[in-house]
Amino acid sequence: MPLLKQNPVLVIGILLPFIFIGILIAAVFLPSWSVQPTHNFLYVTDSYENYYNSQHVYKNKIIVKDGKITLQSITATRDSGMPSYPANSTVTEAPTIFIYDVITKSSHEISLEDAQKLTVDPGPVSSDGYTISYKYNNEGIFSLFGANNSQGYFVTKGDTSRRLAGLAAVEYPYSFHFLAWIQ
Amino acid sequence: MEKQQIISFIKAQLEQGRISSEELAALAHGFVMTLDPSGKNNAGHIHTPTSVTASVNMINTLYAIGTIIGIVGVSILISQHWAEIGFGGRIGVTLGISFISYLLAILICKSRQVMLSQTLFIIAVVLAPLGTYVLLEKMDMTFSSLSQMLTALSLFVIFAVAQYIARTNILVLILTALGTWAYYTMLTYIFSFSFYDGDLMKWATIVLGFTYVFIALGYSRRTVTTAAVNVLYALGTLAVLAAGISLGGVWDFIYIAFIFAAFYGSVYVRSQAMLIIAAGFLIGHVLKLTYRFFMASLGWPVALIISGVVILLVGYLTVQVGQRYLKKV
Repeated sequence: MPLLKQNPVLVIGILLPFIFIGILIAAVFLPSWSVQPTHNFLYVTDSYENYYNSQHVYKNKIIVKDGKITLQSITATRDSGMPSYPANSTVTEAPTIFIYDVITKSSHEISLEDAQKLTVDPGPVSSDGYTISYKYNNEGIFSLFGANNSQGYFVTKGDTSRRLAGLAAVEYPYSFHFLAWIQ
Repeated sequence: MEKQQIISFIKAQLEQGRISSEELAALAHGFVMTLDPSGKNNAGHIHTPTSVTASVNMINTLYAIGTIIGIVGVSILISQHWAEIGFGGRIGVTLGISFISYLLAILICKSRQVMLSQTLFIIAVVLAPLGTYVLLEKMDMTFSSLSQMLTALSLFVIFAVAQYIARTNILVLILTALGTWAYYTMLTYIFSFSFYDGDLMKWATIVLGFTYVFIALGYSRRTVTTAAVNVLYALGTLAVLAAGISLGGVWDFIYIAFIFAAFYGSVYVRSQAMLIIAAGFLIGHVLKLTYRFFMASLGWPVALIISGVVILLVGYLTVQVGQRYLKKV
């Protein structure tokens, strides 16, 4: 290490950012490793509330009743005299349900019939203490550096959280709807 | 007298102490020396001839003005025709010009056109990220934190090669800027796995500030104090104090130590910019603390008087420190 002997100040200066990044990596990744929920969960990726303007509307919304997934009819009109949706809309029974596997960190579609066979807990807190939430933060000037992932869905327990990777494509930030934890 | 004889003669004079290595170096760089009339102090005082300095300054100023006008003009022209020139044209005016400027800068860096070489390096480094953006856009890739980080690191390596060859001051600043870009994009990339934390970014900026100061200090030991070193001292102090003042809480009190460390540091490294920045932040911090802790109890007129007196005192002491310790020889 001739440079270290010749010019230790310069070496310390160059090393400082690397040390900070190392500490940051430890601070970010070590706590998230302790976030290990044991229950899979169900969710949908389409909003019920925007159905009037949508080209894809639903007759029913999905709810949890007595520990089971059931359908609830959506009111045909929002306001009296106003049509419920545009005439050229595609109408289906209910939004597609996805199941999130907390072990493989991936999602796949599940049929309504299969979902109805499961025993579920509407939460929002799971029996092992986890919640699913959307987080958003103003990035300030740091958005210049391409920080386009500073918002998203996280699984959280206490002060530690982990970004949910492998969610099905969410059309709008608020169109993700958590349904229930699978028991 | 043959060349070898001349070298031997100079070597002998050096060994006998009749001429110092500083005087020899100054002679080689075209400076004028005022020797001690007694002849005892061989180091003497070194002065740059006024006419030569004025001439060099004039050329450098013209280069700078020419560069700015040229870049602005070309930027306007390109932006007006951006949609029409197509992908090839866009790559040509960004990466193409950047590459040519880089090569030309290296080719002439050892000649007398050092300033022109540095200007070409600036053009190369400004256009290169823009060209990368154009290229990524064509490949349907976003300029995300990861792609920005890779771009910054690649450019860092390319310009580090240039610094190895050219050894110019501007490349020290360019490498620092590229390293800073890589640093922040790496941080934002790490945050993409978690949640953005504003306080951690402030600490990251403080660490970066210390890095600038240490690099400047280390670099000044390898060479004479240059404009690049002074810029790094100023930016480093600014980064530490600007990020530190926004931390709040118990750091409001620890921050005072930061400011006085900057005052001490300015004398140690003889940096006028560091002194002025420290004075500015001391005034700002006093105003902040007065507003936060004394406004309610003392009332705003008394708080205003105290703030005014403190500002006068800081201003006076800053001038005194500057004149006593940092006055140029």
